[in-house]
Amino acid sequence: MTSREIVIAGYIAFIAIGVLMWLIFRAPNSPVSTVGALIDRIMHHRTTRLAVMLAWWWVGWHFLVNVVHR
Amino acid sequence: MKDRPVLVAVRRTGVLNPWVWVFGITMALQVFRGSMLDTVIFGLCTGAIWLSAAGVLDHTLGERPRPSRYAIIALVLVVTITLGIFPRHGVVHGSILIALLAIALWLLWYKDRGPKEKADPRMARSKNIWKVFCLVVTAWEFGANILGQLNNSLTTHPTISVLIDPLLDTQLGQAGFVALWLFIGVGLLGLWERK
Repeated sequence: MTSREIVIAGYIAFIAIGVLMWLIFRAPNSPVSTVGALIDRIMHHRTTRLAVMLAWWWVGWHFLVNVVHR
Repeated sequence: MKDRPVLVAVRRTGVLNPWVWVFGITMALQVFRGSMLDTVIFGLCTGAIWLSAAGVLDHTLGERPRPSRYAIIALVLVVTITLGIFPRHGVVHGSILIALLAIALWLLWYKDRGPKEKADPRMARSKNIWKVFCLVVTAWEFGANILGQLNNSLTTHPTISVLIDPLLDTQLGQAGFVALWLFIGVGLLGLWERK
């Protein structure tokens, strides 16, 4: 396996694990809170809201305005 | 147990806020990448987060804005169509993204609704699990970025950007990305909830 394939396999694994956790935690009797409830909680403080939304905005800027070297 | 006065004083400066460090380290990575514009953006973001954490701008905080759902739908539709149709990397995208930043700042800049309640065990578990998950993904992405820079190759250790960007070359991919990105933004800001 090349280093490129290992890196890509890692990203695919993260997506699969993330989606799986999101679905499992949505179950009514789950011992873990849902992602929605967690986001609602972490967006409580202004500085966290600012940081999260700046990170979100940068993703859009990065792909839509910046030229990604590839 | 009471905090020491020195620690309280340092905390008041905002320098201990973890977001200041997250953005500061990301800015350093942009220097390493040689991306001047991203270095400036992350530098400004770090400064803004620091000012917020230090409470310097508290006097500017107001009540939470509550735009109507019709206004949100109209904005999302207009922006999705415009950003989906026009070619990327142009003046149209740059102008709209700056306008969206201003709107996002207006929507998030309001007083916190009192002190945060202590997390119950379910919430604490969720917080810890997702924190570890995000840290591992970030370390993987940063690792790929650094190894790519050291090997002077973007293909041997591709970053998420290098893999996703080609998908946005098609009209459908570009419009789909814009819609998903806006959908996430609306969700993060909790614009749809009516509590």
